[in-house]
Formats: sequence, structure tokens, C-alpha cells
Amino acid sequence: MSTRGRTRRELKLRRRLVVTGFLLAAGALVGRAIELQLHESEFLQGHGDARYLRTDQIHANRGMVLDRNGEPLAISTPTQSAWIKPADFMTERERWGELAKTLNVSVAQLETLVMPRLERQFVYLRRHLTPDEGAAIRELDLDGVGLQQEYRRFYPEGEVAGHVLGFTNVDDRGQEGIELAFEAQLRGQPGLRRVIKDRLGRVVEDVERLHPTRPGQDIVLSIDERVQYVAYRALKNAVHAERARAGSMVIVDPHSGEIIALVNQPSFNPNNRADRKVAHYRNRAVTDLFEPGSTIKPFTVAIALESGRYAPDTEIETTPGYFKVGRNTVRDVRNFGILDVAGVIEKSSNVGASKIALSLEPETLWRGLRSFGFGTLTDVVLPGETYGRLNEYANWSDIEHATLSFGYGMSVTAVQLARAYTVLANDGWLQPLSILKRDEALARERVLSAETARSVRRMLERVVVQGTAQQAAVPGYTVAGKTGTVHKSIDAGYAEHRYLSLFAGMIPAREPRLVAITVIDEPEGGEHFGGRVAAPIFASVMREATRILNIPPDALGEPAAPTVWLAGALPPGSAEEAAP
Amino acid sequence: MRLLAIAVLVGLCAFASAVELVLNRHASRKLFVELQALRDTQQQLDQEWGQLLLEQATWATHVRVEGIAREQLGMVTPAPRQVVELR
Repeated sequence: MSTRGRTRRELKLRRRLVVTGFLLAAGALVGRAIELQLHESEFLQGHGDARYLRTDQIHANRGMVLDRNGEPLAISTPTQSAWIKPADFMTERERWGELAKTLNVSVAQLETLVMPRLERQFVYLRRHLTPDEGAAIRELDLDGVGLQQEYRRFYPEGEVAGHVLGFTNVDDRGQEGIELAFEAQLRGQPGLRRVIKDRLGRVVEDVERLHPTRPGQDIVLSIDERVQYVAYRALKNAVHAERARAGSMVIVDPHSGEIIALVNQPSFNPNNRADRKVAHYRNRAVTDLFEPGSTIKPFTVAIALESGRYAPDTEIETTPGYFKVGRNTVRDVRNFGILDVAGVIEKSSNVGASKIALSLEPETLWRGLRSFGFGTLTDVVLPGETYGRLNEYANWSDIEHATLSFGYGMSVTAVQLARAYTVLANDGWLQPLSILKRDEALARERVLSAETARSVRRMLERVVVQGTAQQAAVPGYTVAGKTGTVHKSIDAGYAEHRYLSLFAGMIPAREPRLVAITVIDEPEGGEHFGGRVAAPIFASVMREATRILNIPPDALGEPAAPTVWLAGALPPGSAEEAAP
Repeated sequence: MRLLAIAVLVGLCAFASAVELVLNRHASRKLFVELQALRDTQQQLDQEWGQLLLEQATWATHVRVEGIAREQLGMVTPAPRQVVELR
């Protein structure tokens, strides 16, 4: 190589040059560092803060709640909330008056909010502003006052579906009803991303996604909002007219177990937080227990028919209208004489039902009632559902054995009773109820032969045609049902003049499409019989529900002088009308 | 000589790559700004959609529709005997 030609001196010079160069460079760096620290630190600090790496949350929308036809029942929409940073806000003291005026509060109220929290960085001034308030605050442009996007839940139907839907709290978390039961699905997963923001908080660069956003799922209910409204209106009117304490109505599709409508009185408007009283937002149809009274008799009879020891025309002596069980007496409203099994239901004879029950083994009766789902949950996923009570048969006394046959000594919820009636309506199949729209049939269980179910339905039809429930009749349709008038139990036995009026019905009786339970708690409008109080509510709701759901009439009979009101329909008696 | 040529070539490449980097960086910023704007639009449209749904649902509440039908339009539910069933 060529190194041989170079002298040592030359090499030494080169080394010095290099070392000097490095020293100079190092000196320059140190000098620059000192200069930056001493002279430009403020500028650079500001710059560093401005261009900063932050994690940013990406909002995930809460899912909607829809009815079975896709009508929205609960929607989240953005609103703004105002916050203050007390330290900065103090610099604007002379303008507090303007802000107070915008929010419709006094300056003193602002002071009590701000003064104790001076050291805090963030205080909510007001959450969920109206759009006008938000715009006004932006207009004022005060130091230390900011707006933040938040989401608020709206319930377009207001009171009508309040108990089903429940509501969310101010942080958009479910507190009651569907909102609580399906919180996990409705609630979205907010995403997280790391970003570089500029001084004004604008995102300059998306550095990475830490967590993807997952918006909340929509929940589709089995509720038909139109039927829900009709039921709500009828129940509200009835509770008002009867001066009742409370009321509930549950309408179920017996084939799918879907709840078509579920209403309670008193109700509440979920949009209005101030309106919420605990007693009002209890979903009585699901949580409240009552003794079902005579509405149990069809099940007693069904169990008797299944046992093979009774037929619909088996005769039972009920004279003289009461009979003694041990030291207690079971009474009828009057002496019905000799009744057949169907007559026991039609006249609602306690004596008859007791005699039937006492002739059955306690275990048979207990297993039978249990198989209709009494004392078990209905699987309708609504918060607070209670089991009801059906005591184990081993401990029954004779009188307990007898009174169970007409619905005393056990307790049920309205949804439980509804499910039990779906068994009769559904030719003997028991299936769980659902508040969600079902795409496929769920596992069901046969608890009654189709023949027994039909035969009990025929008896229940007679109750409406000529028995205690004539006011449940719906023109154009066959209706089956059973009334109940229950003395309310109090601490010391039963209250003399406090009643529960019940009606359990199904329509059309031959091929039921809807089953409904109506409960009116302590009617005081002069009537208390289930047939007078609860049955008419059933009729008025079903008149409209059958039309809304397009359930064809099955008992049109001879229409007297029909008025043709369909556009394009032919006047009666014209030639075409006679054609098939 | 060849060594020099290679050095110059590498130098040029490095320069070109630096320019390319700057251009790409700029393009990425621009696209990001665009993406951000589109996301904002999407969110705004989502919100508007929610509000419109809400508005529609509010206009269509049964209380309101029924009130208009009965009071302003004088509509009634036909009595059962007025209904003719077409088979």
C-alpha cells in the first residue's frame, strides 16, 4: 500500500488535527447546550408542551333500543356539558353575571360552586345543556369555561315504555330495565389512540391505535310499540277511573313466548330525571308478588283432567255453597248446586275447586302447578324478577291444599301468570318468556296434553260468553279468559275491603295469538270484581291490538247493515260480492 | 476513480431518499388531515342521523298521531259491524 511513503511527522500532524476537530465540536455542543438551557429554555419548554404525545379517547356510541318493528325506543344523542377551571375562571369575575344569566342561576350560586373548589383543575358547571345554552356559552367565550361533548339518552315514547326500558344515569350507564339488564351489550368500548396534539389541542398525527373502538350493539325488543301504547293508555285510564293504587298489564305471544307489551301504573318518564320516584319506576309486572286467586282455577282443573280422574262433564256437588276443611271454611259467593268441571270454572266456585284439589294427591297438585312454571323465574331478563312462592307439598295442611286450588297460599308475578296461560294457549307447551325479539323457537317443554289444553280453553271461552268475564268480550272474536278477585293479604290475615282485580285472557280463543294478564291493585271506584274492573281493560286493548297485529276475526257472525268503508269496496248486495 | 463514483452515487441516493422521505411525510400529513376531516364528517352525520331519528320518533309518537287523527281529522275506529271481511 502507500503508507510506506508517509513520514511519522505527517501522521502526527493528522492526529492533532483530528483531535482538535473533535474537541472543537464537543466544545460547540456544550456551548449550545448551555445556551439552550440559559437563554432559550422558556421558548423550548413551551414548544415541547405544545407538541406533545397524548392518549386520546375515541367515543363509542351506546347502542339503540328498538321495538320489534325497528322503531327506536332509546337513542343516544350528543349534548354539551359546561365545565370550569376555577383558577382561570377567577380572572373573569366581573363577567360572572353574564354567565349566571345564561344558565338562569344567581352569581351567589356560582360562587358557592366555585369558591370551595379553587384548587381543582376541573369542575362541571352544568351537564347536558340545551343546544341554545351551549351556543350562548360559546358566544360568551370566558376564560376558564369550556364545553365538552357528552351523550344523552332520549326515549321518544316517554312514559309509555318507561318500565321496560329503564334509564341511564348522567354518565350514560344503565340503571334500570333493559338499559341495566343489557348494559354490557349496549355499552360501547371506547377506543384509545396515541396522538400528537398541537397547542390548540388539534390532533396532528395519529401515532398508534392502542385499543379499537367498538360501538354498542343495538337491542331489538319483542315489544310492539303500538300495542304497548294501546295497553299503556287503557291501563292508565282504568287505574285513574278506578282510583286504584297501581296496575299492570302483560301481553304475550303464546307461540314464541315473546312479550308484546308490558305496562305498569304508576309510570314515569325516563327522559325526565326529576320525575323519577323509586315507587314509580318499579316494574311491578316483574317484581311484585300477589296471590293469583281464581285465575289459578284453570290450572287446578287442567291438573285434574290430566290425572284421568275427571272429565269436563264430571259432576261436583257444591251445595250448600260452603264446606269445612278442618277448622276453616271455604265459601262460594252463593250456592251453585251441582256443577260439572266446566261449571266450576265458569261460575268460579271455590268449593268445587277445593273438592277437586282435595281428591288429588298433594304431590300431583304441587308438581302440576310447578310444571306451569309457578315458583320459578320466567327467564324474561328484566332486573328484579322474583320467584314467587309455591310451598313444598310435604308441609301442606289440608286447608292449604284446598286454598291453593283457588289461588290462595301461593304468590306469583304477572309475567309468571302470563307464562302459565301461554301453556293453555299453546296446546300444552311451556317455554321461557322473552323480552327480546326471537328469531328461532327456544327449547320448550310439554307439560300438558294438547287435548287437555283445548278442553280448558273451551271452558274459559264459556267464562267470557256466559260466565263472570262477559265484559272481556271482543266483538268479532272468540275470547277465553278467567277473572280473579283477590282479598289482599295483610299482616293479620286478609283485608276485608282491599282487593286485587285480575283478568287473564287469550284471543282468539280457538287459536290464541295473544295472552294478556291484567292486574288492578285496590280499585276503589265502586267495583272490585275482576270481571268488572280488569276484564273491560282486556277487551278495550284487544279490540285495537287485534287490528294492529292483523289478527283475523274468527267470529264475525252476521254483520248488521255493514257500512262499507274500505276504499273501492263494493256496496252490499252487488253482483260481484256474491262471487267467491 | 471508481470509488469516488460509488461515493457520489451513494450520496445522491441518500439525498434522493431524504427528499423522498420529506415528500412522503408531507403526503402522509395531508392524508391524515383529510382522514381526520372525514372522520369528523362521519361523526357529524352519525349525530345528525341520531337526531333525525329522534325527531322522527317524536313526531310519530302515538299520542300525537292519535290526537291529530281524532281531533283534527275526525277519524274514528270502525265498529265491528262496519267491518266487511273479504275472503
